[in-house]
Formats: sequence, C-alpha cells, structure tokens
Amino acid sequence: MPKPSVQASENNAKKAIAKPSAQEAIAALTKAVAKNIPNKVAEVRKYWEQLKANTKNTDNIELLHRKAHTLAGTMGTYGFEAIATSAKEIELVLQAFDDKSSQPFPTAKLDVLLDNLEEIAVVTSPRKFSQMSTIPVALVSTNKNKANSKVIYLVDDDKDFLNNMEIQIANFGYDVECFSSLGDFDDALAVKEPSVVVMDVMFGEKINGGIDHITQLNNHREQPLRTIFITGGNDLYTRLGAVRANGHAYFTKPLLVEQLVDTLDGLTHQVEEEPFRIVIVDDSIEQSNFAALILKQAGMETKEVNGPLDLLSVLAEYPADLILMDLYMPDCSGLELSQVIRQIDTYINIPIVFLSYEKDLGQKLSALSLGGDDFLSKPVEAWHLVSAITNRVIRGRTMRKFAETDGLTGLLNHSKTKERLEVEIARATREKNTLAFAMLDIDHFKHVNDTYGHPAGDRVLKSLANLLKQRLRSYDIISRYGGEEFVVILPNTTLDEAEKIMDKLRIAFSEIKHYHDKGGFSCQFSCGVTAFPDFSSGISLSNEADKALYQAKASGRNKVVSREN
Amino acid sequence: MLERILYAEDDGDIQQIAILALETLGGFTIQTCNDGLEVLAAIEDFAPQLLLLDVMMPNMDGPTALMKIREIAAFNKTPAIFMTAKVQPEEIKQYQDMGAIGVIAKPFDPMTLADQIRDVWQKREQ
Repeated sequence: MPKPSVQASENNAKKAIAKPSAQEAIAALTKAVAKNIPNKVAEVRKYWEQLKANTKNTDNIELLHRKAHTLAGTMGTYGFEAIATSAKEIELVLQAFDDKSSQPFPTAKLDVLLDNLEEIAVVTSPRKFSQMSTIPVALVSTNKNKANSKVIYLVDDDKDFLNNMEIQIANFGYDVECFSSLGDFDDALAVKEPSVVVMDVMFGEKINGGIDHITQLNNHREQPLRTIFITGGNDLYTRLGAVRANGHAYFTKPLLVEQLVDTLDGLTHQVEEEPFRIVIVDDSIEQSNFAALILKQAGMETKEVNGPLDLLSVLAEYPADLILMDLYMPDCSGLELSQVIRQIDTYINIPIVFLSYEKDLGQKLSALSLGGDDFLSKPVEAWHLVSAITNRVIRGRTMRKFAETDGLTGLLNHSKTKERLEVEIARATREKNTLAFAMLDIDHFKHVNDTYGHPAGDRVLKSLANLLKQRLRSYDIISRYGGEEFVVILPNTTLDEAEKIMDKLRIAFSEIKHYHDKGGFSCQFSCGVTAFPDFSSGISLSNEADKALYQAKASGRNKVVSREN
Repeated sequence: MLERILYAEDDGDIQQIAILALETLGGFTIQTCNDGLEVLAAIEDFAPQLLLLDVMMPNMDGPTALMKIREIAAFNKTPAIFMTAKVQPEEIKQYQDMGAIGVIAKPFDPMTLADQIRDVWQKREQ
C-alpha cells in the first residue's frame, strides 16, 4: 500500500509566507499546468493509439477513459475550458460505448475528437476565475502559449522568393525567419520553435526533399511541426506526401499571400470567443441554480431570473445570447413571456429554449409556434442541455454575424458601423476621452478590377481587411463602408496618434504584393482622419473625414490627411 | 470549528490548487491522499473532522472509501463531501443517501472553495 503523502505539516509551515501571494501562486500553478499541456495531450494520444491497435481490450478502454476524465478535470479546474470540453467529449464517447458494447467501436469518431483535442490544445488560454476580478493583480498569464505564436519559419532554396515573401508576410504582423538551406532551418529549430513552418516541397535536387525532411523531423518529435507546404507542382502524389507529413495546407506557386496569411491566421491566432451568455428564467431558485451550474461548467455565463416579470429589465442591460425558460411559472407562463419578447424588435433573434416537464406533444408544438426555438423535457441531462444550447447560440451568433458584417472581408458593414460609432462617441463623452475616425479609400481601384479582373480586386480588398485586423487593437472598430472604402474607429486615440497609425498602415499596405495570372502588382490607399471631441457628432466626424479623404485624393493620393476643427 | 480535512484526489495538478485554496486561502489543515486506499491508511492518525473525497479515483474510488470508513467505529459519523464532475440529480441523491453532507462540482473555483466547504459545514451544524 502506498504511504499517504505528508503534506500537511509542510504546507502549514509555508502558510505564513504564502498567504499574501495566493494569486501569484495560482498564476504560477496555472503556468506550470499550461506548460505541461502538450505532454498531457500526447499521453492521451498514446493511450488512444494503444487502444486503436486492439479495441476489444477493455483495460485499454478503461485507461483512455480515465486519462480523458483526468485531463477534463485538470483543464477545467485551471480554466482551460476548451480543452476540458474536448477531453470531456472523448470521455463521453467512451462512456457511451461501455454501456452498449454490442455496437462497433467508434474509432472514426474518436480519431476526429483526438485531432480536435490536439488542435485546441495548441491555441488555448485559460479563463479567469470568477472571483478574481476583485483582486487587482493580473492573475492568469496567457502569454506563455502566445510567445512564439507569431514566429513563422519560411524555408525555400529560392532566395528571391524568400526575400519577397518575408516582407509580405511580415506586413501582416508575423515574425518571419527565412532559411535557404535545410541545415540552417534545423539549427534554428533546435533553438526556437516556430508556430508554423512554411516549407518548399522541392528542395535542391530532390523532388520531395522538403516533405521528406519534415517527415524525418516529425518522426523524432512528440508533436508534429505545423507545416504548410508550397510547391510549383500540383500532382496528387506530392499532395499525398504532404498530407502524410502532417501538412496543414498546400499551396502552389505563384503564392497568393492573402490565402497563405488566412491559413496562418487560422493556425496561429487564438480567436477568443466571448463566453455564451444565457439568461435562465425559472420561478424555482433551485432549478435555475442547477441549470446555471451545468452551463457554467461548460464555460458559459449565466444570469438567473426568478421573477418572470423582471426578464425585460434584465434583457435591457444584459446582452443575452439565449433565453432558457421554464414553461410553467406563476404570474405569467413561459408561452406568454416568449410572445412578449418576440414583440420587441431588438429581441426578435434571441433564441428561446423551453425547459419543462411537459410530455404532451401538443403543448410542445404550441410552445414552438409562439416563438420558442426548442423544447427540452426535464429532467434534462447535463450534456443534452449544454449541446442544445451550444448549437442554438452558435447559430444565433452566426446569423447575427451575417447581418452585421461584410461577407467578403468579415468586417462590420455600413449600418453596424454607424451604430458602433454612436456607442463609442457616447462612451468617449462619458469617459472624457478622445476618439479618432479614419476613412480609407483604395487608390485607382477601378483600374485594378479592369486590368486584373474582379477576383484580383477582391483579394486586394481582403488583404487590406486582413492588414487592418492584424495591426489594429482588438477594440478598434474596422469596417468596410462600401466598395473600396473602409472606416476605422480608434477609441482613446488622438488625431496625431491616429494620423501616425494610419500612415504606417498606408506604407505597409503599399508593400503588399498582389498576384494575378500575369504577374504581381501593388496598391495604395488614401486616408482622411478626424477626431472627437474636435468634431462631436457621428455625422460631422464622417463628413469631415470624407472631406479630408477628398483632399488626400486631390493632392496626389497615397497619403493621409487629417482635419481639425 | 472546522480545521482538519482529509482530502483525496488522484490528479496532482488539482491537488496543488485545492491545497492552495484550502490551506493558504481557507486556513484549514489538510492531509492529502491520492486514492481511497491511502485515505483508509491515513484516517486514524490524522483524525479528520471532515472528509473531502473525489468520486473517481484509481485503486479505490471515493464512494467505496466512504463505505469502508463507515465500518470504522471512530469515523462512522465523520461528515463527508464528494467532489465530482458529474452533477446529475440522481447522483447527488445517491451520495446524500450514503451520508455525504454535500457535493462540490468540479471544476471548482479555487477562490471560493474554502467558503463553499464552510457553508456546507455550517448548514449541517444548524
């Protein structure tokens, strides 16, 4: 029997020193755990491969089950919720299998889940613990994983190509390091891990030299390198080789930088999605607590409303993604309440999910006809509740995105931008802050479309959108105002600062090379900048920026002009 | 007053943050075990006032450990709290029937874990 650990006395001794730095201790623990994530995930992978070799072995099933369970628990505790959820899914699949062993083993499903887990593990960061907002110290460092997230290794024996690509990719905010020999690349790899390797397929004399090299490296690594292959050829055999070497993407030359950067963004960026915000309406506090507990465990944010008549005032202040509502309540039923909500335009898109003991199909149907989106019967299983709500929220958010953004660039559209501008002006007024407003227009864009074709023009628009997204701060508002016109709203920024920022962007954009069938070309933009409180309304800001933009165009284009009152 | 807690959890990372939450932030005295067997080995010497047991552990899980502990006369009334990631009503009921005074859902919030335990403890005393 193993001896119980004797940590009690030791920890007591440390207590006096440790107390003031509890938050640092948690941060340190979280850091240590974060560092160990790749190993933990690799371990799960190992047990999965072991099990895959013999899916009849119940011991191996049990082992993987336990590993997945533990990983879910640890990751959940330290706030790495995406990983926790992913591991939980693996656990659930194994659990479901345990119960009905007459079914074929879900190998394909688990393969997908394992891949998913590995992908998530690379781009994850912990959430902050709920109570920590009261402690004025930044607690959970997310920089650990991000450290090398911008480092790209570009490997190609064509030096001209390297020089050209280095500038262009760097323009999108990446740290690019170039290697024209595999030996140099290996040396650099030993010192620092890049986030992504962009590797030429054909190296020197060898037709698949790049692929072979990556394959060899990966054979000695726990985690395969994330690799994008580029090549002059496009035959299936080479593509197959690239896939086998764990290539994440495959591009043929001439390379479309926007496409490459899109892929790099996908592989490196952690897209931090805001937590789902769920309003729970239930007259029973216990019931709403229970639902809230389940949803919080799944990483959602909840607000409980126990008096149905309070719902409207809560909705007015809380940007809910979904309403989870009990059907039978005193004062007013869930059906009546959903009708009321649906009569208010602002809330017409909020999904409503009913939760009740209702078994009668007629009642369910009438609940749905009156504006409900789904119906869950109590007692509802935790995973069912979470998955029903997750699906609804994702769809709701996607719909909202379609309504508010431009399809080509993913930037906010004209009407949403005007709305946001008013909100930001109100905020700046309240906080006695400045705000800058810039209007950009791509020079001679009609000429681009006419000469190189509309697909090339679209790529130019996308590359400007990407550049703005990459270079500006997360709370800056970027929009495609129409055609080749873009608007940028920079909160907490003065006119001078904004002018400098926009000028840097102007230079960066002019350095991007755009490709089409017959070769490369570059584009420039002109820009007009104004600022609040110099101009105090949305209309005056945009009118004056428009005038400044006209001035920039009239005085020779490819420049930034600012305008004071 | 609640001071001595015997805590069982198989995952080292979770142990660490729980110890921090309970000792540093909560001021309890904690003895940590890695599974149910270790709990049985440690309980007489440590004489805990409260058992805090993870449900799923290798070698011996939390519920089994609690049943074994109930066979020891000195600890057949020691209150126990389970920690589990599965919070389904039937399961909670089942643990309560076994004599658990509370169930704490995992993942827990380290900043409030000690308060949660004190809450459960006080409710039981009332």
